[in-house]
Amino acid sequence: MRLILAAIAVAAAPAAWAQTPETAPACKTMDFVLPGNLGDWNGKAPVVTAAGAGDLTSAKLLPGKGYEAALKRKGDVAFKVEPEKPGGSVSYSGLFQFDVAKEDNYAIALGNAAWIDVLEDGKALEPLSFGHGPECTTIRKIVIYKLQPGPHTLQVAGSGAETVKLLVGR
Amino acid sequence: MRLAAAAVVGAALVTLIACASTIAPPSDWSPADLAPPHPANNPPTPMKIELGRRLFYDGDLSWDGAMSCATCHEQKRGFADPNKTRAGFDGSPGERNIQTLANVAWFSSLTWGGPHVDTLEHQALIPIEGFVPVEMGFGGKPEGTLAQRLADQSCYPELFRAAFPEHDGKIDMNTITLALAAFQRTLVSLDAPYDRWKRGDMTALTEQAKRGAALFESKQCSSCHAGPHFSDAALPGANPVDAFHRLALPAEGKDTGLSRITQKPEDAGRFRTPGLRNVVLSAPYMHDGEVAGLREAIAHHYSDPSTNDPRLGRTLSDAEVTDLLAFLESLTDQGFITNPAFARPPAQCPVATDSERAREDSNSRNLHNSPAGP
Repeated sequence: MRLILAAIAVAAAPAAWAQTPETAPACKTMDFVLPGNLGDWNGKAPVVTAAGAGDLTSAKLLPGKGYEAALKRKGDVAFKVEPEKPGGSVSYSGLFQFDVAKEDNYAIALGNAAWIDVLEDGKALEPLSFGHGPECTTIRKIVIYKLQPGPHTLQVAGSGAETVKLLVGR
Repeated sequence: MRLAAAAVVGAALVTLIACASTIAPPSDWSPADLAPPHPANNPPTPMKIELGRRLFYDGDLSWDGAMSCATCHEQKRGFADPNKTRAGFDGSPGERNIQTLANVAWFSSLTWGGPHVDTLEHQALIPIEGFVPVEMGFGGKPEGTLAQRLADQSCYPELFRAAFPEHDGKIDMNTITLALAAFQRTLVSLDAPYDRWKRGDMTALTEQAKRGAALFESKQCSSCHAGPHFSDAALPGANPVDAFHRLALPAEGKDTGLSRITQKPEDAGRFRTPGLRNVVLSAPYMHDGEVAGLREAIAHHYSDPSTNDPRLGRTLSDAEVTDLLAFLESLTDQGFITNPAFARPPAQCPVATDSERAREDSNSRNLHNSPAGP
């Protein structure tokens, strides 16, 4: 899996940190081949965003599991850290939690181009790299972080859609 | 031995000083003399600029709220973007590389391929309402949607009233684009090391950068990347069409640039000269973003046999290219990319809103009616 992430990271290098992917080529079949821990991308397990830091335990993500996450209007979510690109009043936001068992590089895969932050010890981490998903998948972007063991908060900001597919992979 | 070493160092110093004294900045312009122009119908005011900044950073200017002007124009990149092209709000493909906004007030043509887009007020409508390509997505949507979206918020009506008293604070595409343009005209980048050298600080540039600056002139890079903004599209009084040049003929089916507008075959492949301010921050390069780095971008100017411009027939040695790169690095204006006046504004409304005024009135009445009041 690490090799796959490394390949994504290298391919993404020119666009590092920008968080908005370029457009994928036309494909006959989408999501036909998904590598390693992204394999459950189409899992669509339901999860609803927390409204704030107080109810994060109800918005828990399991690494390796594909989710269809329900977001809320921007004004209905209290971010822990103000996102760099928070989106407009009509956009949707989300706040989720996931646990990391061991130090490693983790990939956050998202089905649209929303801005994401991963918070560790209350601070937004700088990603290691960023890029679009593998060709001919509906993964619109992948952002890779080096994470320490412990609970982490995932913030989603500026989503144009009320639901978004997401997956925390390793 | 020490004496010999000292002599060598001394000789080297003499050489350096001699080199330094032989490369002086060109005297055709001075950054101190430049103030951004504005059209007569849109004089800048602090409130209009503040409103424009707020709009520039607001995702509500896209149909689904996901994309603001700043999504593609990032301050830390000189208001450019690191992708080749940008997908629109709905994922539809982008077409051309995002251009920097540094010193955009001076430019007489504002897009890669259209000399007719000659004001920032006009240009702002292209990403918001355009179809080719779709960017922010208001094209074809019910008229007045964006204005109503802004009017429904507590801060914008007050800001528009303060910024546009002559329009009775009306919120429409006219006032929206006037404010956006007023903010963008404040995006002035004239304090790079190169500018400080031009102002007389001979230590502001490395010797390598000075050699690069001299090469930039002698190799005629400056004939297109001309003047203080390093583009002939920003020279006063220039005919906008004259700032469109061809480095290579476009391949079959590719973007033909100016000829899309003029319908003239001889204009195929002509694109507007981009400015070079903060250019090291704005990779990738060229109209389609297909050139990843600056060294390749320089080589791209010499690589295509289909160009008929004799200025592009020259070649550069590796050492000369390295000097040119040092010069281009000296166009990075750290103050510009960190200026808080250009950054995303605080969430709090800069003027009192109706609800805040009502709260103040209520507090005042309560104070008046309380036993401890006056």
